[in-house]
Amino acid sequence: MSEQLLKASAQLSSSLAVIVRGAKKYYHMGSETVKALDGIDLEIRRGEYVSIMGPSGSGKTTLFNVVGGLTKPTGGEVFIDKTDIGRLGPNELAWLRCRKIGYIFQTFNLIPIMTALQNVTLPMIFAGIDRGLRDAKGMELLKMVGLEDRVQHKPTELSGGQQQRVAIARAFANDPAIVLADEPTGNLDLKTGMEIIHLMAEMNRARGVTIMCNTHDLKIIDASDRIVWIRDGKVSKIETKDQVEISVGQMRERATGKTAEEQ
Amino acid sequence: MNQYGKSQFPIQQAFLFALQGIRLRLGRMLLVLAGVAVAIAFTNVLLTTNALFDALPPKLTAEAQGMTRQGVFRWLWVAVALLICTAGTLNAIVMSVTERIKEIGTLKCLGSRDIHIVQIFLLESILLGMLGGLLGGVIGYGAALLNFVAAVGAKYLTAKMAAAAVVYIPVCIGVSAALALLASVVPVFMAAKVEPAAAMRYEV
Repeated sequence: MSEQLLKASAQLSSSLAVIVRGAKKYYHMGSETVKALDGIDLEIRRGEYVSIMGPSGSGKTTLFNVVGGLTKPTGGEVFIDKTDIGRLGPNELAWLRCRKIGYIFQTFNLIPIMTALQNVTLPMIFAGIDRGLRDAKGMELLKMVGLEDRVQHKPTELSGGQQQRVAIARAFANDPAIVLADEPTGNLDLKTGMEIIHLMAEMNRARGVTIMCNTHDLKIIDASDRIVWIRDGKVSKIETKDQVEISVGQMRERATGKTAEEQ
Repeated sequence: MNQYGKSQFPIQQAFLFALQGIRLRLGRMLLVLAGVAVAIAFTNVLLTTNALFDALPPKLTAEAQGMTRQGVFRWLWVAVALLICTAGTLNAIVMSVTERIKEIGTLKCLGSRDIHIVQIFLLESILLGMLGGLLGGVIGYGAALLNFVAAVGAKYLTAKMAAAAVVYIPVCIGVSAALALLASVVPVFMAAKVEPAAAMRYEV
């Protein structure tokens, strides 16, 4: 390979936050083998907002778990920030989860005994950051998500949307390379869901953090740069935002039997 | 991999988590505590009574016969009581761990190492054990003194003897904490080993 080409490929790989190569995850249920992921290839650029779309049971959550280092894939490789996470031991993996990845869940998963501020600063405790710095940054993040007046509230004293905002602030606490979200709007009403989507898009732009978001919420398309469609554990197509708007339009046509002009 | 550090979790933080864990389940924890306290009190009655009788001058021991040292077979009852209280503690810890398995998964997502999870739950059970040991130790000590006075007579009980028997209270705390630790090691290590993805999926 020529020197130029080497340089170009190095540049390309350093501009990628996540590389997934042939990721497989099989579950054995009795005599049956369930292929939750069946050879996924995916690359996510730094600062990109990628949505993973697909019906229930298509493997979205399994992809979230595999990319997030929460479960070991049966085969294939996952690189986060140029690190092959399959080669990491349990303690290194804990460190990666702490410093490189932020997680947002459908069920918020805040620690019930802790206040909003304590929840946001918890990842920074694991990262070994001093208390003063921790609290200052926690306050800044809570302000960014619009909860500066709910700092001392426990999760039970917060609405679903507010809890998810705390979770978003927590996910950004250690300035991760990527934030993974698994159906973040799944437990929220339409309006609150929209607010959360906009907040995530805003954080993506303001902080330049890469986001990979699982959803079957078509509202999220607006916010994302690319949409990856998954079906039966495989990538069925990858589209940019513009392409998706057209194909969603076509779906609408097929459903109603009318073209966009007629509507 | 030299860029990789280790995630941290100071012991004060683990202590706070453990305390909150007990506080949130106070009703059930009090029941376990009562069980541990009774078993330990029973143990301490025997320990202290024997110590008091051993401390009697030989001629008085002869006088006080009929109600002397506790027989060896009594220790069998002690063993049964301690076994039951250990089973109770085991049960409480298993419940506490399974109830919080999602929380464990979340903590692991945020960067907790397995050892941090172990720390939280072992601290919780040791705290429980020590508290039960203290309670049972004091109750047992009091009961043994009363028993001695009733059986032998108050005039034989010197302040020195009573003071010497107090050492069994810390012994009780130690035994109780050790048993609590023993009861919780297996469930806690199993909980800490659960893959975060499996822990998050878990439904109670």
